[in-house]
Amino acid sequence: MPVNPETVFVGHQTTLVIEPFVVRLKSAIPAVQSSICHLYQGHVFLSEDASSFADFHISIDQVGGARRFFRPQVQFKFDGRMPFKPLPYSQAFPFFEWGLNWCIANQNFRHLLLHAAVVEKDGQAVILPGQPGAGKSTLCAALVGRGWRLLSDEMAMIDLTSTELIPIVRPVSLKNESISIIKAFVPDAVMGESFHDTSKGTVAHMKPPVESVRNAKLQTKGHWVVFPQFRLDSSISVETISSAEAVLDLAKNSFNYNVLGALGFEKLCDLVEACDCFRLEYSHLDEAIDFFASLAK
Amino acid sequence: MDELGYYSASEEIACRELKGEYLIFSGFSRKTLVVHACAFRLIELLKRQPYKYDEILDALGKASDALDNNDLASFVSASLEQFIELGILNYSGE
Amino acid sequence: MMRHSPPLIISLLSNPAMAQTLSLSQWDLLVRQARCAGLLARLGFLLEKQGIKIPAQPANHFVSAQFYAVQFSVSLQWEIRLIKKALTKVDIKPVFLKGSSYVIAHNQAALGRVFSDVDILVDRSELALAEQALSAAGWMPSITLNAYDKKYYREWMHEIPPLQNYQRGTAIDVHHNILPLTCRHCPDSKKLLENIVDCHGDWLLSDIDRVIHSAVHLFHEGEFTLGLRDLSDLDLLLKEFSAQENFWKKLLQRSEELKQQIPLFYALRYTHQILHTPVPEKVLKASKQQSPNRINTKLMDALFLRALMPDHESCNDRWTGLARWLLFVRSHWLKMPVYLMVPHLLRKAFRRVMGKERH
Repeated sequence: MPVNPETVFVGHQTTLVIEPFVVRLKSAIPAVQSSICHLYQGHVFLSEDASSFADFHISIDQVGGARRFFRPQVQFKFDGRMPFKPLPYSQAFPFFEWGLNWCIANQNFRHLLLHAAVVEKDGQAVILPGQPGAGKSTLCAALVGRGWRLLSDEMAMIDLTSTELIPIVRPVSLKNESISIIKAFVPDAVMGESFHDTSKGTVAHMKPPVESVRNAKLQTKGHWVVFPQFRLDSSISVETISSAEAVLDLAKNSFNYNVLGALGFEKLCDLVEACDCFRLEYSHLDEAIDFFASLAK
Repeated sequence: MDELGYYSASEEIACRELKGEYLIFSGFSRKTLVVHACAFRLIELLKRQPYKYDEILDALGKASDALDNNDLASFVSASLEQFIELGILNYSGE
Repeated sequence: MMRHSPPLIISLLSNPAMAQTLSLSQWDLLVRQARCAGLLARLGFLLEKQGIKIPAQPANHFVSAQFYAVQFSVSLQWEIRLIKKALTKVDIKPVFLKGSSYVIAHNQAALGRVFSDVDILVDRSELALAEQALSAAGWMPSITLNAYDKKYYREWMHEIPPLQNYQRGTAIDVHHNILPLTCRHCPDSKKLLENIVDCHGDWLLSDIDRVIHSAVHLFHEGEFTLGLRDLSDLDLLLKEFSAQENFWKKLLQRSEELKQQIPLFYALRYTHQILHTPVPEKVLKASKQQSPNRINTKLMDALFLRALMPDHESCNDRWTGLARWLLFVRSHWLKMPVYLMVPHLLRKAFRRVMGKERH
């Protein structure tokens, strides 16, 4: 059922439940409002009286003064503070997504956060750590398009008591060639608009499937850690890696491992101990998907 | 190597064996290391209680897969120095 | 003119038990104000001490901040160890100031406190040697400085430029006095160094000197982003140390000796007014009486009672911006004579406009 800016943005403000967080967003920018309504359509929007506590108070506003007329810009504010420099006006919605990543990663020491995508099938989750050029988001979007449940495309959030993976279901961020690749690979994927000339190139977002959003509270155990590496024209190769190597590499790919100290170390070891760990080199998406399908059997 | 003082493990460390490999985390220097089995045993030894250098050589020399005496001494000296540098071990002497 | 009821964070700091009656939307505001003021962890610990059960959603934020503070403390202990190791090589034993001193001495003021630099005090004669030894251990000037900036730091301020460790990114401020040499009422650093105490093998200023230093630092400050946190430090220090015999009398005497009666007056006045620190009435009177100059309390209240609030939209009124700006100018006026101050401020403004100002 479509969600309208007029209904959910009251006084340019809305409260959006992105489990496990509640986000209060204020923005008068039409592109932000419409993208939110489009890409978070399956999520819950709270009415003002029901929304007493928000984890993050975010505003995306146009920068005022002379800037309104010459190369207009937008600013991201986290409860009035500006952690970043302004960006071009056209990048307002990606700014929300990047800024929200920062809010979660920077404030949260109740969970171990890894820079990784997480998808799940039949109660078994795969963690895909995201070094640059790895192609984690493309792979994540493709897997989701082939029926895997999306937990997150950006952040593996690990419960420090149970070691289970906690979903943060949000639009999957794709860049440059990946956008057309996924449009072809998953024809019925719902895509948001493309944003050009960002620091990452052209960026677009794939709406998370309704089922993934519905299961946003369903935590799951990790079964595999797969370090993907996209390499043009290479044939698919899979290498098993040791748990110790996986721990070191995941620690490097973590947002807050450094702060969590010994507890983070223990939990990371617990997680890896329960998983089979691989490096995957691939150039054809369908070959990679087949590999994951074989894992899930 | 100094023989008079006591070596002990820092309170801020965590140790873990994962499928035949040995990992140490140092809360002080925030480093995560993969170490040799012998180094792991050294740290586990010092976690139990402080030891002097000679006592360490004695205890580690008894393990079935222990290095021979000369190798063991150099290995232990180097490890002790490294681990103190990384905040994994403490030394109480001058 | 001033707000009628204090911000939620202020009420909770003086009376944590009040948390039992908060609604979820009040918790929302409290978390935001506390985070803004740099007091989220401290408040979390204070609420824990009171046995207050925080609702799940806000609890996540407190727990995160508290966890961070505990881990910060571990890192700080390591940093202190490395600083001592570097300076021991040249036979210098530094005096640890401010936040580091609270951690070393296990003071209440260490509770939930996170900060960016370690501050140390050395004798002026040892400054160059200290800088060399720290440089050899990897601490480099953390900001690019031109000739003017270098002169500003070395000649006029009371520290060498901030040093940053090239590997860990941790920073040290090396002082040779607690106030700039150009300062109007400069304390005699020799007097401070005569009174240092050994605390678990580390040197700290005496408890009374640490209170005075905290007062001096806050009430010469130009930027008050962490003003409430520093005021809260003073509140905790005063509560802890006032149990010592003759504490208040010694505090007043020492402030005269060090010529810092005015900062102490403000410290006692505003901890008492804002955080309800139990400062005896006669002590408040005496601190005002022993001030060398007449203080326009009405004006200073109008400025400080605004600037010491968290810089958050829920705590500001339409005069807060002006109050902060006036105190910014005042802090420069205190630290340097006018003939230096005006060109300095103009230079800063120019560099800011040109995008070169990082300090």
